[in-house]
Amino acid sequence: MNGQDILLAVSGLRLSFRTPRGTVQAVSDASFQVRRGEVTGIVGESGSGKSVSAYALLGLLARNGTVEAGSALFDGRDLLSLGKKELRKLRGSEISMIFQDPMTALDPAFTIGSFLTEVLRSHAPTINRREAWGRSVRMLADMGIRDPEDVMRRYPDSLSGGMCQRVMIAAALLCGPQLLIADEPTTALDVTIQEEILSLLQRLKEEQGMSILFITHDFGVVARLCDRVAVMYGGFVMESGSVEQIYHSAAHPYTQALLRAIPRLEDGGKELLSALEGEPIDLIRLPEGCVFAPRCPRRCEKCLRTRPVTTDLGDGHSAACHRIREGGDLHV
Amino acid sequence: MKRKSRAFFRNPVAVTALAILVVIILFCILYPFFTTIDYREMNFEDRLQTPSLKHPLGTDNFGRDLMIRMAWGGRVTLSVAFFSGLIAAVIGTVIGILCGYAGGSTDSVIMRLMDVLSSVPGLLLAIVFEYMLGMGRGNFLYGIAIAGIPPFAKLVRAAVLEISGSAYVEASRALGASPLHVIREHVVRNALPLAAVQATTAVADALTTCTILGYISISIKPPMPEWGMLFDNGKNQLRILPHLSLIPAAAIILCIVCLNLMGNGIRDSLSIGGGDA
Amino acid sequence: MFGYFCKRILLIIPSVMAVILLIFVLMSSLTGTNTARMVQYADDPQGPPPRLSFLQQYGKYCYRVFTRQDFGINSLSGVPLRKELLIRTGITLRVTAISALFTYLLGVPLGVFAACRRGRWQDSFIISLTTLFSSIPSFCLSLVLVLFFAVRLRWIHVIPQDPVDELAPLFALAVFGASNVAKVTRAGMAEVLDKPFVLSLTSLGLSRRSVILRHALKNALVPAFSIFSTVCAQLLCGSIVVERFFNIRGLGSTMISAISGRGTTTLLGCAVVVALILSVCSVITDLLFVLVNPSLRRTLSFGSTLRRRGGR
Repeated sequence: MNGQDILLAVSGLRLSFRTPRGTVQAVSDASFQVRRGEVTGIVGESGSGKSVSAYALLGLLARNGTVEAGSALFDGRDLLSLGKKELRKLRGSEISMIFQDPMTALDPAFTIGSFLTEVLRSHAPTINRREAWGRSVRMLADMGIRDPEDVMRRYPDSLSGGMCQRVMIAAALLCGPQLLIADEPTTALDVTIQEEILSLLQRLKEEQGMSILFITHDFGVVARLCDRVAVMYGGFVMESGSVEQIYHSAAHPYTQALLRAIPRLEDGGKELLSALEGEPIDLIRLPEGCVFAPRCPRRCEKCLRTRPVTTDLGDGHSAACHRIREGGDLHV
Repeated sequence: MKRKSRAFFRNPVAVTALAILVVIILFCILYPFFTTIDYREMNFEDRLQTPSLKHPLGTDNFGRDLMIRMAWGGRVTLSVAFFSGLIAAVIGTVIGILCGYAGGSTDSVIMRLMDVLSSVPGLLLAIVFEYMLGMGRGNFLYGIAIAGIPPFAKLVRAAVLEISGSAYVEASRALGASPLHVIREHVVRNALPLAAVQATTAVADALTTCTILGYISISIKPPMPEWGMLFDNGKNQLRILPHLSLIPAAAIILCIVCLNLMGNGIRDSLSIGGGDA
Repeated sequence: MFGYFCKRILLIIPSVMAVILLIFVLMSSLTGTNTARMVQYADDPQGPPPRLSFLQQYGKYCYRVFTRQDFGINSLSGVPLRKELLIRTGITLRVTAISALFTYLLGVPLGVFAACRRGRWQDSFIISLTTLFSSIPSFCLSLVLVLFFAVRLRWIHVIPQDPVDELAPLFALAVFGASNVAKVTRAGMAEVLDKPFVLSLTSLGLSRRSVILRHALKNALVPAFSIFSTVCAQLLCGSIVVERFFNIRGLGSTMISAISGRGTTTLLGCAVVVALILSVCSVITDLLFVLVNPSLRRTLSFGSTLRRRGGR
């Protein structure tokens, strides 16, 4: 927590959605940070609250969603208290976001060229068309697209998934943001293309010092790209720390279970896939105690009755669990 | 099916619409039996009267009682509307089933025909039929009916296509069920709700077309009244006795609105749980 | 794509010819009309009809219509039809075209507004309004308008005396179509607003207005334009009624008088004009389609069912 510059500090985030079936408490307490030039990953299953936390930062929550508490300090400002106009100025130019399915994220009625130039001109209205075109072409080339002039004239339906994602990243980077939020950008892509996009993101981090908030459900991707990780479940951050800490000394039973569930080649495929018992959590009726307790192999009475507090395990590693200190292996 | 009907009847708007329609139909059928006035009877001393006890809706410029003419006019208008809707539904369903089962070039050709047919407005088709087959004898009904066929054909065909690929039909067939049985059980059950909604639309469209024809005097021969014709007749007295046109217009609008609301009600009861098959 | 449109425009002629053939067949078989008389030369209307075979009659008629716009003579008045049809068609076209414009100018913004406020009272209000108005036949609406504005309020006259009076028939025609356009636009817009690209465009900092008006609208206009042909057909039918109500001497009233007066030649001429107008409308629909969403140009083909998707 010292030394390196913290670009984004989210603390105590709490948000919910009004639905006909009741109020869904999507996030109850989330805190995480992104440091300059680093990649922070948020890992969790669907429904853990990882994506909506990111949406809340840019004010992109659906109409029935409300941010109930928390702060998100970015560059000295609290994102959650910004007005619409300020948020609009911030989006794309200081914080950008890329999404899961690149093919549906592009407007099919516009060419790539008009899309990119429009993004540029919405943040810099004085820029003229030729310069906007030139900058877009160069950005596409930077993203590894081989014939950028041709791509500029094409429509999204004539591009592959990987190309579309590169275009999306280009659009996100056009105005030089400080933070890039990536919401499962590789989930909808083929494995080989996944690797290309991840290399691209890594290059951005190393060569341009880009800070990235990377949301995923895939621990393998986390290991590939991230410096720090926050593990979420049921709207809470269960554990957070550096990638080494999480992989080698995971303290929370949920993290440990996730790591155990990654199939490994070395065992010759003889070991059974380990799975968690119990059912997925119901976000409308959250349990009183630890949200993971119903499925936790190490639960006790206390776990079912009171919510655990985030315990600092030293060196930037923390976990929210009653059972950390009390024996049990800290190693995977 | 039962669940869906229950859902429909719980919808107050749709039920009210149905009730209003039934009342209007009953009026048109029964009223002529309860009055001594004839719809053709011209009474020049009594012309252009405002509503009174003797003439509940007043009289037109020929001294004819508006109420009885509304009843008879309603008989004409509503029977044209419902009959053409029925004919369109039956023929359309048969065509749809045929196309769905036949497939191949038969299917394509007939569907192209349906496409062409659906681009011709019903009004023009009705005028053509009326002109070709002799005027004043109600031949426009065939035109209206034929114009209403394509939507039915399309949706029944879609239902057949959807069903014929599904597993439970194959299972039925494997158990020895004949195609007719399959049709009756599965296709009908699947297509019926959508067809019911389309039926309300078809009847509403037919009603509109019929009244427009009446308005432009390309309908049945006077003195037999028809709501559109009554509207036309009253047009000249707008300044003195607006109700002569307003009443037919109101009746027409009311019927169409009720039909549309019923259609909406049926459509809504489809999405509310109770889906069988 | 240019080639596609050239082909479509050229196809108009055969399709109109097909309509003419159909009417010829129907007329001679069903009504026993002497089709030869219809093809008579203008310079000898009184003489005996020339002895031509059916196909020769048909061919001659088509030739004269397409090369000289010679529709024959109005059997009632003895005057060549050409001028009369041209003038009357011009009047109807003017009314219909302006109504079509009104229809979209009224319907599209309503639909967009309703979609942007979906779930709220403005949306429900607009939905009930459009349901109501799409039920009212145009002539009933004309009546209500006239009754209210002309008789009660005395703002306009039934017989047009100022430009304002001309608005009444246009409005009566347009409201019906506008409700349908509004319904379709709203549905299309609501669907588009839920699409992922709207979220990603917003996340890149584009203003809400730009996202809606530039991007969402473009995609939502596709269903709105796909019913353009249907709207035109409805407007044409509606104009028949409205012309009679407001005593406008256009194509519709010509058709009506031809039908009651058994003016077969006139009727045939009207039918040709109507077929022509509807064919041109369907080409325009495709044009609008491509204008709005160029990526759809690939789905355009002969007999494309995109046009039909709008339904009745």
